[in-house]
Amino acid sequence: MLRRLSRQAGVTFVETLVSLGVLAVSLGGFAMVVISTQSAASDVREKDIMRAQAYKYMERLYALPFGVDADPAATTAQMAELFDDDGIVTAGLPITLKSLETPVDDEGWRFAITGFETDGVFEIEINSDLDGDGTFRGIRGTDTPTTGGLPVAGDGATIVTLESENDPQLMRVEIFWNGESLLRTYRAAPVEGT
Amino acid sequence: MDSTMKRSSRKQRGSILPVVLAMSVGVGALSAGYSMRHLREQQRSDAYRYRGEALYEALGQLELTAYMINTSGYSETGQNLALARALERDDSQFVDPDGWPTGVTAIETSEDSGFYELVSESTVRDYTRAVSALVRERQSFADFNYFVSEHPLGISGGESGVFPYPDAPEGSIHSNDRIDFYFPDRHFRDPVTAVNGFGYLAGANGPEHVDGTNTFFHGATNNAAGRVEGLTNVDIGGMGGRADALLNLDGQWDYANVKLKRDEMWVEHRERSHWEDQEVTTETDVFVDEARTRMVPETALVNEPITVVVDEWSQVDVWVKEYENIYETRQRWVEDIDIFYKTVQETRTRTVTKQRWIEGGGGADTGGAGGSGAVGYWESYRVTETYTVDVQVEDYRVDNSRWEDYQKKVGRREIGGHWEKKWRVTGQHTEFEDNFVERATGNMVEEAYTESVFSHTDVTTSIQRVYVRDHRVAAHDLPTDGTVYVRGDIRFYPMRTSRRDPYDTHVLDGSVTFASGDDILLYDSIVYGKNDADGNLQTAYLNGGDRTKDYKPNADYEGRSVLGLIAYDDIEYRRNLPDQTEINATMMAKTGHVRVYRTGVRANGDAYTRGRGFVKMSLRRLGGLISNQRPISAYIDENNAVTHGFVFAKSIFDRRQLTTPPRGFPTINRPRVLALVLKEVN
Repeated sequence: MLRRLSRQAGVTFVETLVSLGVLAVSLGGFAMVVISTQSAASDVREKDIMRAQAYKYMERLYALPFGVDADPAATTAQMAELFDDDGIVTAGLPITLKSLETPVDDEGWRFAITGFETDGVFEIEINSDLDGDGTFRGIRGTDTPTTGGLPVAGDGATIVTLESENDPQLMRVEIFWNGESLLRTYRAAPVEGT
Repeated sequence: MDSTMKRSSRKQRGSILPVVLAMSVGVGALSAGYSMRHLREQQRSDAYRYRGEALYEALGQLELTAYMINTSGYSETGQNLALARALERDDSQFVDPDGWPTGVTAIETSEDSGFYELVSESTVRDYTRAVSALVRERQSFADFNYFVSEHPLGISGGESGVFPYPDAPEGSIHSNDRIDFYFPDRHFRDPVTAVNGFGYLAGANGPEHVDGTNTFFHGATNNAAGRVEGLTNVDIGGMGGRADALLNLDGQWDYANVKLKRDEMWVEHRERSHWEDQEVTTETDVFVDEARTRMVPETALVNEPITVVVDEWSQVDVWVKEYENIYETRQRWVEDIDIFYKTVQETRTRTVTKQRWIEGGGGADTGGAGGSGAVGYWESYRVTETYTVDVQVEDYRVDNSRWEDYQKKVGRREIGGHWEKKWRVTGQHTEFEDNFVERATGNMVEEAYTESVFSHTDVTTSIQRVYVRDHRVAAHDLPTDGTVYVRGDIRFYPMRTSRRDPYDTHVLDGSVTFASGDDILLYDSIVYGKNDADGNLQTAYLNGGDRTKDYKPNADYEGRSVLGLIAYDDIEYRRNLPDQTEINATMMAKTGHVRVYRTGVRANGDAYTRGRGFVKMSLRRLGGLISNQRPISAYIDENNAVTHGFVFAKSIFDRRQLTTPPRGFPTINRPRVLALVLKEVN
């Protein structure tokens, strides 16, 4: 009489190897996910913190009076006070946006801040190059301007000198962090009596 | 050999794979969880980032669009060209000077209101933020805190150098001539503009000064601005034809007295004295003479003598006595001293009263002998000082005094007499005198006579020059919700409390503009007020009648009163005003100025006085002041004393009038961008 071969209890060596392999892969994958998400979260947090700082700086810049061309340039001491924790400038004459104007196609005001987890450099550009491309030229759109003068539409293709740039009464304010633009807006000079 | 041992029948199965698979699934779930968490963080961070970018993009475009509107010209019909061009587009969107749509659209808030909402939307990725601003197409003259057309304006700013510069003058300040700034370290918050430059006096410095400027402007300035025209073009007479006109008194002699009583007002229409041609109808009774006869008693003259008493005079001898005076010799002392003087210098002290200038804050309507235009007050103080003077003092004297004889009359004595003849009454007798009287004879006789008899009445009509005295034409009780035009003066009556009328000052709860073709005369304070839920009157500002306390907004005031006063000539502060006066109104003097009684301004802007005026302690104003000529609320003479007007003055610009100007106030070709609102679309 033939005996049925009984099923043998336990785990075979092969099963063990396979199991360990699967575990290794899944645990490894999990570890990678954790590490990468932690790293990404750290990046996100860093950017959020710097963005929050950028908003704070932008509010201070928005609160400054526009000023006139004759306003003397701000000193480094004034800049340090403007971008410190309270933003109150006591040194020298009152500053205006015009006194903070930076050259076109050149670096703006650069500074680092301390007491944060991350390192980096803020840069602030304030000038009449509204699109920030370093020139006063660009393509004019095909809509008729709604300005008060004799408005003429562009052709949408040719690069020409732009009407709205290089106007001392209009300024772009842009804040960079480690070379990446965080925030941009525009300011216009107040018009007498308005 | 067979085994007899039995093995367990339990069959053992062994495989770790299910467990491993289950664990793998668990690990996978954990990984997914971590990934989802990171994804959410990333989304949150993206939202934070893109919302911020969208917000500042929207703000920036709105700023550029506002600049386009502010620098735009106006059409002949008074439309802002930039606004008009945007509204012509189907999407009502503004397009920048380089032909790119800005994302900013214009929406008229209500038809013909002149107010527009600018909505700037910006979308970054899927996040949209919108910013809106209210724009008024044409600025009202009521936007000015001070506007002077033909003369220089003097003003001092606020002392606080910290935003929002709470004690700086609010509202636009403009002169079509020059503006002189007084005192150092002063701040101005809102636009300051002048056509003929800025001057700096009493310690104020401008940017050209060697020590640099100490006058700080935090709004737009221009010391070579264009003239703001329109003041002298105001059509005051046209106010009577407005749809909201309550009363139109356009008669040649019309003037009005006014009492403001919260939500109603009493306007007395009067005509001043004048000569006028009137058609006079005269009825004259015409009589004719008729000859008639009548029987009358006959009379004749009859002598009825009367008795009279007559005095008898004759000359008689009278004894007249003669006297002589009696004298006595006496002595008297005669003082005769010659005093000789010499001159010496003497040092003395004296206490004198001097005056020093104390700035009163934010005001600018003072005239003076020195031509200054600052507002504040002169404070008296006493100081002791020494001085030398030449004095005449006695040097020596020579005494020539002596006793001297003289004759004194002590009486008289009789020395005899003589006889004289004199007329005297020596007797009386009676006499008869003729006395003819008319007496009836007893007979009747016929007498002819003429009698006037009524014939008819003649009615004649003629033009006669008639003097019409000052008189009341009618009294009107009107709501405080509209405009009133009077060709002549408008007088804000002195208010006196009585049992019938409990108001002791003008109180306005409503929106009214008064326009006069002549002067507006202020005889009493005018305040904005409204009763609260308990029936207590709450005024817009507190302490208007007490200069020792802050003049500040009343948190319990819930009204929205607006009063406009437009005069063709002057608006005048009169003698009857209280010692501490409060005026809540925006005032406009089209050709004259806002001034104190009996003051005036020469062509060069220097103030002068005409006769004796009045001096009151304080004037507090809420509202703007628009004046063709230089306004005067105080005149200071060469001794730095206020001789006419108010010693202390305080003016506050009514910012509510930026959105709610007085009815009918004229506008100018300038836009005004008002409130900014942020909102999140998604």
